[in-house]
Amino acid sequence: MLATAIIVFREVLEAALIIGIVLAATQGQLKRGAWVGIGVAAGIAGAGLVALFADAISSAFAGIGQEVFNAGILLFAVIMLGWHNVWMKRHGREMAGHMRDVGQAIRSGDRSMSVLAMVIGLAVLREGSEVVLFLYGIAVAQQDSARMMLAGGSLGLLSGAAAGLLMYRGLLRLSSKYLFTVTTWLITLLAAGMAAQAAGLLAQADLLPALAQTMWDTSGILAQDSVPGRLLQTLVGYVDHPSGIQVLFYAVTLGGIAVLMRLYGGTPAPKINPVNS
Amino acid sequence: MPEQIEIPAGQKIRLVVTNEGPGPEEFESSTLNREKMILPGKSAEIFIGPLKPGTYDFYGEFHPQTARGRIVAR
Repeated sequence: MLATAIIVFREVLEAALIIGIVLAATQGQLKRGAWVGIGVAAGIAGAGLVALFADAISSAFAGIGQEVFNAGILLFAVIMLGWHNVWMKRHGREMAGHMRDVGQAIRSGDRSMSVLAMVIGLAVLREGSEVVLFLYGIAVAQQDSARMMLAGGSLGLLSGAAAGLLMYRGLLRLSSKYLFTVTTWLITLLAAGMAAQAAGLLAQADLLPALAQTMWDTSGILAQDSVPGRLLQTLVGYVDHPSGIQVLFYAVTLGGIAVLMRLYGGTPAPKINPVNS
Repeated sequence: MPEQIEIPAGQKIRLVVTNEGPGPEEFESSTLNREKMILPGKSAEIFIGPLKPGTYDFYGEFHPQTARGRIVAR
C-alpha cells in the first residue's frame, strides 16, 4: 500500500505544484476557481482517455508516438506559460490597480485564465494517465487488494494535493509586491524545465540529437528520483544527468521568455517628472 | 528482462524493451536520462547513447524494488 502511495504521490506532485503556482499567480483574478476546476476536470477526463488509448498512442509514428505526444503537450504548455508571462507583464498592472472598464478586464482576464486552465489540464492529463496505467497494473497483477490499492492511491493523491496547497500558501505569504515577480520567475522556470523534458523525449525517440549524453552528473549531491529531486525537477527543471540538447532547450526557453517579456511586455506607465527642465 | 546488458561505448544504440509482465510498466533510468511507458506484452524502442564507458542503471518505475538492471558500456 505504501509503495502505491509513494508512486501516486510522485506522479500527482507535479500537477499539484503547477496548480499551486497558477493559483498564486492569479491571486485576485475573477472566476479563477472555476477555471482551475475546469482545467482539473478536463485533465482527469483526458487522463482516462489517454490511458485507454495508450496502446494506439504508443504505436503511432512507428513506435515513437508516446514521445511525440508527450513532447507536443509539454511544448504547447511552454508556449502557453510564456504567453501568460508576457500578458501579465502587459496587463497585470492595470488589473491590480484601478480597472476603468470592468467588463473588458473580465474578458481579457478570462483569456489569460483559460490559457492557464489549459496548462493545468495538460499537466493533470500527463501525470494522471500514468497513475491510471500504474493502478491498472496493480489491479491485473493482483499485488494489492482493491481496498489496499484504493487506500494507497488516495493517500498518494492527498499528500500530492497537500504539497500543492503548501506551495500556494507559501507563495501567498509573500507580500503582494514580490508575489508577481516570484510567480513570474516560477512560471518561467517551470516552462524551461518542461522544454528540457520535451527535448529529452525527442532525443529518446531519435528525432533530436542528444548533442552530449551527459553534460554533468549531480546525482551524488541530489538524485533526481528522490522526493526533493522530484520537487526541484518540477519547479526548476532539475535533471541530474542532463543531455546537451536539454541544456540548450532550457537556456533558449529561459532567454526566449525573458526577451519576449521585455519586447512585448510593455513599459510601465511613464513617471511624470515634477521638475521638467 | 536481463539484469545486465553489455553494449559498445561511443555508439548510438537502439534498445528494444519488452514488457513481459501482466501490467503496464515504465522503463526509467536517470543515468541514461530515459523514461518510457510500456504496456503489457508490448515492446518499445528507446534510443540511447553514444555512451561513455561505464555502468548505467535502469529500473521499472512501477516495481522499483524488483525490476532492476544495468547497461554496461565498454
